[in-house]
Order: sequence, then structure tokens, then C-alpha cells
Amino acid sequence: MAADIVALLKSLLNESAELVSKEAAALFEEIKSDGSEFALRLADRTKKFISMLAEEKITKDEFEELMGDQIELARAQANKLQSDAKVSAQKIIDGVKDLTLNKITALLA
Amino acid sequence: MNLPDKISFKIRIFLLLVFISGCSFVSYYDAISFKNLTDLKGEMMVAFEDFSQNGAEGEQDLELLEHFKVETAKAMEYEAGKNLNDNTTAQFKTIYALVSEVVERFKNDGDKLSASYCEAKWLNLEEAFRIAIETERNKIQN
Repeated sequence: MAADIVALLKSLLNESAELVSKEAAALFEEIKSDGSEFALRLADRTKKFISMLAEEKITKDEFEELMGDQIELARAQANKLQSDAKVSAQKIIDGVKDLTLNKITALLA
Repeated sequence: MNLPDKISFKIRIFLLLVFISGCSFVSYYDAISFKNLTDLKGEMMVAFEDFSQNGAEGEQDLELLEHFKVETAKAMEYEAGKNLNDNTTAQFKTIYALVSEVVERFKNDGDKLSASYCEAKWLNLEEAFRIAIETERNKIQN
């Protein structure tokens, strides 16, 4: 029985560590691709607004409002990344809870 | 890091995870929030496609813009009422701020908006919706 518990704890530790590193890698990948896509779209919008201002399709006041929005959008994007990080942490916690329950159930069965 | 250190590091991480296992960090995926976002985005997209061609003018267009503002406010209050939902609530505040700017400009610019302004403003609104929709979609489903 004692040997079973030691084996259970060892496998629980290994699988938990694997879960943490898998989730962290997925999060970093998401942050990287998400950030660069957002930056590309922001650059495209800025270019378009500048050309609209140059062609006098929009006024200076409208241009200032549209560019001010970019700050708000960057804040919204930061909130997204923060939420994604919390979701990853939650997935790890939920995963470890499930692992622990499964292992204990298997040991008792 | 030698073997005992490695094991003790794993044990420390595991104990930390067990310690915080009762904690929640973020609200779960909510189908109502997702529907609110996609419904609002769809309705505004149709309106702004038209405004981008013809501009916005007159009482009917103002009523439509005010309707978007009210619907966004209702969705924002729904989000604010949920626990662990600060990030999504902040994103709704951004959408609300953008829609409010459109309404204010309409009123201040003689009850009209130019087609070019509407075309440009939709690009910003679309981005705000994209961010909020992706945030909700990435949450854990119960």
C-alpha cells in the first residue's frame, strides 16, 4: 500500500509538471501570435486613417478621435491577454484537481 | 539542478497547486455573453455597411445609433454583474465608449456623419468586437 502511494505521488507530480509546461507553452504561443496580428491590424488602420486625412475624406478632429480609439483598443487587447493567462491558470488548477481525484479513485478501487 | 532538487521543486509546485485548487481566477464561458457580442456586432455591421456608402443622416439613423448605445449598455451591465469578470467588463466599456463617440459626433456635427468617417469608425468597432469575442471564446466551457 505504501509503495502504491509513493508511486501515485510520483506519477501525480510528473503529470502535473507536464500539464503546467504544456499549458504555459500554449499560452506563450497564443500571446506571441495574437500580439503580432493585433500590431499588424493596428498598423493597417493607422495607414488607412492617415491616407484618408491626407485625401481630406475625414477631418482632423475625426482623425484624432479615430487615433485615440487605438489606445482604447490596445487596452482591450491587454485585457484579452490577461484573461487568457487567467484561463490558462484555471485550466492547470482544474487539470491537477482531476488528476488527483482520478489517481486516488484508482488507488482505492 | 540535481535529482533531489528537481523532485523538491516539483513537490513545491504541486503543493502550491493543491493549495490554490479551491481558487477561481476567471469567469467561465457564457453563451449569453457570446450571443450578446455576436448579435450586436452583426446588427452594427449591417448598419455601418450602409453608413459607409451613404453616410448617416436624420432621425431614423440617430434612433438606430441610440439603439446600439442602449443595447451595448445593457450587455455591459450584464457583464459587470458577474464575478471574476473585470477583463470582459472593461472590453464592453471600450465598445460602449466607441459607440457613444459616434452618437455624440452625430449630434454635434448637425445630425449627420460622413460616409468616410463611418467606414473608418467601423474598423475600430470591428476590432473591439473581435477582441471581446475571442476573449469570451477562449474561456473554459462548463
